[in-house]
Amino acid sequence: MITLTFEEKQSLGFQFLLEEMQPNCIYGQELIKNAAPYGREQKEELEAELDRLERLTKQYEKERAFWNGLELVLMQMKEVRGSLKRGAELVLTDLELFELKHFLLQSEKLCRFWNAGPGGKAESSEAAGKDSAAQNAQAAELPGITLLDTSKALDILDPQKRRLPGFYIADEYAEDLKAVRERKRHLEVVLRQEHAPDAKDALLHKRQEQVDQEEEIQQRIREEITTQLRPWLPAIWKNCETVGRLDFLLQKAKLALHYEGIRPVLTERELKLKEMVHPAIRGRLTAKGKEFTPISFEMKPGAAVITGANMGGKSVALRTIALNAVLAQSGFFVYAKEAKLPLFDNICMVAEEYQSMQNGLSSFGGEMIRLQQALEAQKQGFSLLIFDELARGTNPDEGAAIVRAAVKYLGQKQAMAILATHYDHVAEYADFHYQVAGLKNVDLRELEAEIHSAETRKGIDIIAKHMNYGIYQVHGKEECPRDAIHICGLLGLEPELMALIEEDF
Amino acid sequence: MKNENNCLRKLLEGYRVISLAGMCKNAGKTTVLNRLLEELGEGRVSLGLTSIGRDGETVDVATGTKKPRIYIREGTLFATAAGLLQNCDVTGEILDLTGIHTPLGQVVTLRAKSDGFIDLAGPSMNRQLSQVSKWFQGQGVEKVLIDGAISRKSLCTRQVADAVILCTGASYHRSMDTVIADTAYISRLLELKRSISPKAAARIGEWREERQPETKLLFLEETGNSREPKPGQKLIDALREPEQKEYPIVWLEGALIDAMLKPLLFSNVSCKGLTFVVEDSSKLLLKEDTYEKLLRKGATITVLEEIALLAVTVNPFSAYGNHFDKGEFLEKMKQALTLPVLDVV
Repeated sequence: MITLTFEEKQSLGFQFLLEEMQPNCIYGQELIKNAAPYGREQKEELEAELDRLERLTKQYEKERAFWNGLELVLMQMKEVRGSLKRGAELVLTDLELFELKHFLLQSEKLCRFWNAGPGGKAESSEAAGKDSAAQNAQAAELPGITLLDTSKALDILDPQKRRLPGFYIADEYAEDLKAVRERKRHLEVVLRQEHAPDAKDALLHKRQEQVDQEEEIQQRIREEITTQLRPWLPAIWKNCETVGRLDFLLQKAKLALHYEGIRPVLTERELKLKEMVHPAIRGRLTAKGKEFTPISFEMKPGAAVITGANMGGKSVALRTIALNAVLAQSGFFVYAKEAKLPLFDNICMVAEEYQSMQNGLSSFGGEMIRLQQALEAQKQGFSLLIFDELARGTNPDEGAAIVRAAVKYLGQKQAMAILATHYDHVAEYADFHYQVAGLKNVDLRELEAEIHSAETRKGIDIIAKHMNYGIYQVHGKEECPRDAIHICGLLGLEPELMALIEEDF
Repeated sequence: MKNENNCLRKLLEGYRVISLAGMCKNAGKTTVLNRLLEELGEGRVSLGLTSIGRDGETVDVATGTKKPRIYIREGTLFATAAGLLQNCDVTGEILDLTGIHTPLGQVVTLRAKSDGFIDLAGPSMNRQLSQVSKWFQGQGVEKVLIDGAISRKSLCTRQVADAVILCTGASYHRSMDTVIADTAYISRLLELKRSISPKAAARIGEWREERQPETKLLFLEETGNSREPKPGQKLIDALREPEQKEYPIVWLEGALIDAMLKPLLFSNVSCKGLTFVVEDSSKLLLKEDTYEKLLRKGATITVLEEIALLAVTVNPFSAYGNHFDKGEFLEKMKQALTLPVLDVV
């Protein structure tokens, strides 16, 4: 597992997706809260999870009623791990026994539902006798998700085998319990008719003796029940975990279907992502009536640089790449048309919004500490390192030198480093160079005409509308785009000043 | 029944959720509850029982006096905090967890499998109480009883109960006259009826759905036509507006307190013919004096949601030692009220 902090998840837009998920039970909720990329050594587990997710997404729409029904059962699976822990050493209370019974009832229901499958083939009554066969059938559905049969544990808590939700220490547990309750009941019936205070007190006193005896026996039975349940506790615990994994998987499948995710292909050293989107950013743009331009990006180990002078495009591209890489490695589907990714030992993102949280250091100081942490992490194994406008807070000469050096250094390491920068002469040292399209393919004269015919203050909106936030790969040398200067011109900056800018550039 | 006139059960006929409200601690509320439980038990009425907050201890926490405990019959459903289950000596079957948490643990619902004593600590919020009450009714009980805590007159809100029994006693005040006068005043508020037209009431309902949180006043005609005061305008200033005389009904969102009416009472603004409307009588936090003055100025007060005040019970014994004469207290209280008054101690 690679750990990500909450801030990192939030900055990536991973947190947004996690919060979109609606787990049915505490077990699924916990897995979602702790969702993180698998380690590179866990490739097999990750592939298995992606297999399950692929199977589930294919089945989900077809068998909607089945999965909805399953979710209803999952919703009833309450937290019992506290009682399981206590039960291993102490005597469980009535309330804990009630909660355990409830969980076991739901487990039995879930098992039946699960074994019956979408078609409802295996009937519940038969299932009990054909446990192994039934488990094989479910193994074919979602390999690795196996519910253990705990009906025998439920029988301990349901001696009458009525499978009703309530729990109390029933008369059936012991003859002496039944006897003391009969004696008590007899006194209570007499008490109902007795109105004289003294006689009433005497009866109440006698009743109290029976109450004390009853409680003594009940406590003995609680001990017996807990002892009988003890061998079952590990299996129940295991089912808690399985229920969580199933819930988590279902939510992942729903998320994949909702945002049209695809299964990523895991590679050794190749990264290729076609027409990716970032659901959170796309959502924000859509709300403003704007469109998200899908991003295509590929690279091999080394350093890649994304350049571009405009507002936001680079950062969006970086975040989209980083998010999808994290998703794939966390066992989620990715939001792209095609996705091939390697697994990383480390994933680090250095972006400005963290700096404010760094021990009160200046933003530049904090950033350099993060950089150093990222470089240390890189030494531990194959890493994905992402830098958003590294050293943007310092003067451009020094800043550019820092970024150029970082590109040169990382280009030779076992890593995929992706840097977004607006500094000059960085891209030439990079193995891969991407450029934000910006106003590249826009007819500037047409755009100028549109701005002139509109109201004065609408200029920025019109430019933003024509701006292409997609990125394209630059091969060889390409002249630096002049988007910033174009924008100045389009917005009608003072002609004399424009002339001076042109002269200097 | 020993005495038909003293029969509580008859009073409850036709009501589903009945709450017990006390004017003070030691008003004899638990005794009344036990009487009710016994009478309803004999009548084989299926019951659900809970309390608002904590009650039913053997010793009164505040005064140290010995208090009666609640004794229920087999078959009764009850809801109490998990932390108090050990104090209950009925054989209890746990039925469900409510998801409502209290300082004494989660509120759990149980079915009594025998007669016995229980210790109640139910939810402390109206919304949660009505959740428990609905759950009981879903289980098929005929009546739900809610044991109120001290001075929680808010329990009388329609959100929780459709009928209420008010318990009062010598512990309220040393002077019998004060106990009677204050009880009579509270009873009067609890007995307020809705006196506005269905159209006006419907308009209030609509407006409450859509109102801005800061707007707490609405002026209406009987036809349902309405106007809002200007933003931030106080009640007295809004009443001075020239168009106001067309709108004699004044809806007050939330509680009506003395401070809201005082400026009005001491001003030259006419209150004649005005009808002040609040949600229910639990929202009326007015001193008797203020209430009287308002009536004398020609205004009336009414409620949107009526609640049935079924009876007042009296307890002549005081936890503080100064007991009243049993017969005198009962007689005087009967004279002061038009309701059934019962001595249950």
